[in-house]
Amino acid sequence: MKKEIQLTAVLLALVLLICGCSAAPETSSAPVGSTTGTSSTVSDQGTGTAEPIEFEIFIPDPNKKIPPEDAPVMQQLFEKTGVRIKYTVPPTEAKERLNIMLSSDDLPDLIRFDDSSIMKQYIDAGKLLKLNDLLETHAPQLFNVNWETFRSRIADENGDYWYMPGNYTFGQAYIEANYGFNLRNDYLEEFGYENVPKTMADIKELLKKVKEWNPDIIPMGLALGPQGHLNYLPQIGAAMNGLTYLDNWGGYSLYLLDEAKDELVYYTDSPELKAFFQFLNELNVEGLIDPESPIMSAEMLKQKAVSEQIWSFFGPWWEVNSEVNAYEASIGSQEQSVVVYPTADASIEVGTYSPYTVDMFTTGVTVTTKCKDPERYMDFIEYINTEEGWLNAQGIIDYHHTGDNTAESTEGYDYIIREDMLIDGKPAFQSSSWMGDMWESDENWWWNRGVECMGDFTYSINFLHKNSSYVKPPEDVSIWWDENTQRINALLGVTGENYQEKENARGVDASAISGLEILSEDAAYTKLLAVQKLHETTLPRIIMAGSSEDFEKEWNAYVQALKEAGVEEVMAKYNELYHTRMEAWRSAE
Amino acid sequence: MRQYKKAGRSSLRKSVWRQKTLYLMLFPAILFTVIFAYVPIWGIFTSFYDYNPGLGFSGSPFVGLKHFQRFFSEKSVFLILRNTVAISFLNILFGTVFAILFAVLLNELPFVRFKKTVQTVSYLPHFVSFVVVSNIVQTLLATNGPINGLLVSLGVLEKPVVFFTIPEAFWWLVTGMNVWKEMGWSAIIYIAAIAGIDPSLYEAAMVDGAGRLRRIWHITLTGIRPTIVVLLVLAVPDLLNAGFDASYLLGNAMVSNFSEVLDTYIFRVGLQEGQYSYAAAVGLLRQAVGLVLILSANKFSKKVSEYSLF
Repeated sequence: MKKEIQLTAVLLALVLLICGCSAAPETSSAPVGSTTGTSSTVSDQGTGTAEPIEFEIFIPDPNKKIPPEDAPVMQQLFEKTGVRIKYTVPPTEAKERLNIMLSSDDLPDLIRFDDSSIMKQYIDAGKLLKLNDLLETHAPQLFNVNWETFRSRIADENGDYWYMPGNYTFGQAYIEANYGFNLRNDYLEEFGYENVPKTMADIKELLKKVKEWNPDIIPMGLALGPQGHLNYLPQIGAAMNGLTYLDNWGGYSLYLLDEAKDELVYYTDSPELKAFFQFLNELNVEGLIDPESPIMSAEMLKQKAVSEQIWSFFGPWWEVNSEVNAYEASIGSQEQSVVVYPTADASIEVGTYSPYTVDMFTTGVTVTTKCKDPERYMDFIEYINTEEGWLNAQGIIDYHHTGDNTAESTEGYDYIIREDMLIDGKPAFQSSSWMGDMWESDENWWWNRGVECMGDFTYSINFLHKNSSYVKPPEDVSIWWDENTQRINALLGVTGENYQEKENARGVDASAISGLEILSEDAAYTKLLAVQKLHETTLPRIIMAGSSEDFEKEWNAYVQALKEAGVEEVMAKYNELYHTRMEAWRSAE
Repeated sequence: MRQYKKAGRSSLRKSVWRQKTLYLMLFPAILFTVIFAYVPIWGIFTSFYDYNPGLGFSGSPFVGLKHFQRFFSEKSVFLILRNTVAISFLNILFGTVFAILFAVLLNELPFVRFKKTVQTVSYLPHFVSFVVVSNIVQTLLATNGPINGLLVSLGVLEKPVVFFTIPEAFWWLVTGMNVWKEMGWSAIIYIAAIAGIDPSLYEAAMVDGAGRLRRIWHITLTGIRPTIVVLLVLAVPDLLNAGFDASYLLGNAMVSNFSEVLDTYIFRVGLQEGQYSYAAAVGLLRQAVGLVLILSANKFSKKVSEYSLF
């Protein structure tokens, strides 16, 4: 019996050992600098004669919405090109994942970089392919036509190309503010929409009234905790004051452009930003802000907003408001969470809530040395940057639509080309009413359908491009709104026709200050990290200080700590980069 | 002489062969230790370079003690070390005290089945992930949670308190969570040690008129003293190991001066900021200090008592 037990124990140990030693399968990779392909390429007409292939791309954005593989638009692209795109998105810290990938050499086919410092580390480590030859031989239209006006700006000092920028728009861009002041409309429904706040003082008055009206709800919540909205606050402060700043999609954009002095300043050097944080602190001192704000993540804020624990918040509107509105609609309520764009005071007519660029960020999609078929990938990119390819990536299109744009006549199509509506001799390209109806019913419909899913890969394509066959007239965006939303927006002064005009008015050209990166080998880099760390750990304490005296104390201590951390050297470096760029642009002109 | 050596080798071989089953069972653990604890030791060399993973050692510049110097010149080092030592010390102190107390109390229970049930339930939290535990605690301590509700209704608090934004409370909250989670598991060793005490000692003490508390003090605690000493000596190097989970999961801006410890600092600079060499240097420093601590503690224990680890 004893021997049997011993034998069983030994066998069990061996089995565990074998299981523990099993390794993950290696991803296939092309040899470095290889030019041999593994399958036939996309035909000129993109008629899908190629063998299926899948490219994996790492996107450093935890909030990225990924279309499923069987999304109709993704399927349409696959049928045309034989290419599937598999997205890998980190759950939280993207930078951490990029660093691990670099050190472990576990690379996908493609990586989109949002941080040129890390991209440079990858280049120095020999993990990325130089794209010069690939672009010239496999993507000549993209390289020579689409990139015509800015090709030199995205090459490095040696004239080498390492990345392909995406989401690029120029000219009359479709701008939409990402964040603002979000509030439930229940109070407005009862007491009138004239109570919509237009300034910081209005917000304060409104929140006090809301507190009296409904003591069970906390007037405002702020997601100041980890994975929160902290980084949006300086941006909102700058927007309310009509300043020029950078929207890094919630990343670090802590400097502003002082246009009078033509230099970049850290936000603590701006009296307007200090006044904004003072305003937030006053709200806290008066008990109008959720005391759990310092530990609140974006997810917690969403849950509190949906469950009516908080009435308003500053931050990005899409995720939270759509969740609130979907829930309210599901229980048959007319209540919604809406976004408005107040300014600091009445002297500022419109806030600059939508920074946009007509220049590249110094980052984009790169091809790693582990890419299984770089030539095939480049053929695919060339294709989807032609008009035909781009249209196939946009959505399911009715190329020969006649008659009105109604939900019934456009059923099954995301876009229509109106041969009966010519603008400058070219057919009009419109979003279909059917798509608008579908989106109203399910806010995830867009991603599940795969509409406009190739934004990371398409460049310089819009319908103002001189080679386009179609014209995109201004849209009546109300096709995407249900009846209740149309009613509420009308009360807020927004219609489907004037929506874009109002959004464009909130735009600010931030091209000159976008994409300035302090690289890791620079002496100022470690100081930049220290400054960023201080921002994370100190700003919530400043906002949540118990009194105005404590606010002043915390603010002054923060300013002093920033000086000791080296903020002056950091800003000196940013200004050096900015002025170098300005000189280069002036001499190019 | 050769005969004796031959005889020695032969008896060793015989001994190993006789216990081959035991050695085979030990083999996976040894392999695991070698692969995950000893092989990665070569990585400490990265602390002497400005290491670029893509370029390897040959492509990375040698910088000597630059990263070590940088650590000692960082302004936040004092706070980080203070937090690390404080949280570790509280964990060790209260963890040991409560584990011993629990083991002693459990030993006094007369009903065996009940005792075993309590013991089993007590060490179940050890297997629960700290992520789950932190979520549970945050829910319990939320402003609209049961703890605040109870304290407000009893009049202890005027209004709900956000416990995790009180800097001075952070260490105690983390210690409390760790004690709750590990008390039952840590008590296992003390329970085993108590089981090894000769029962006749208790009988003799009872005959001599010793009450329950006296028996606990003079027999139970005295009997497990070697175990306590050995475990405390083993715990001393952990003074610089406050644990990553609590500080990472529960830390926030309001308590950052009390929550950042060496582990979260190394994680932040190493993985989040990509400063591998600097993080490796900090880690190496910590291990070196830990080695000095365990040697010192062992020697001290040998001097003041007859018990030591080696």
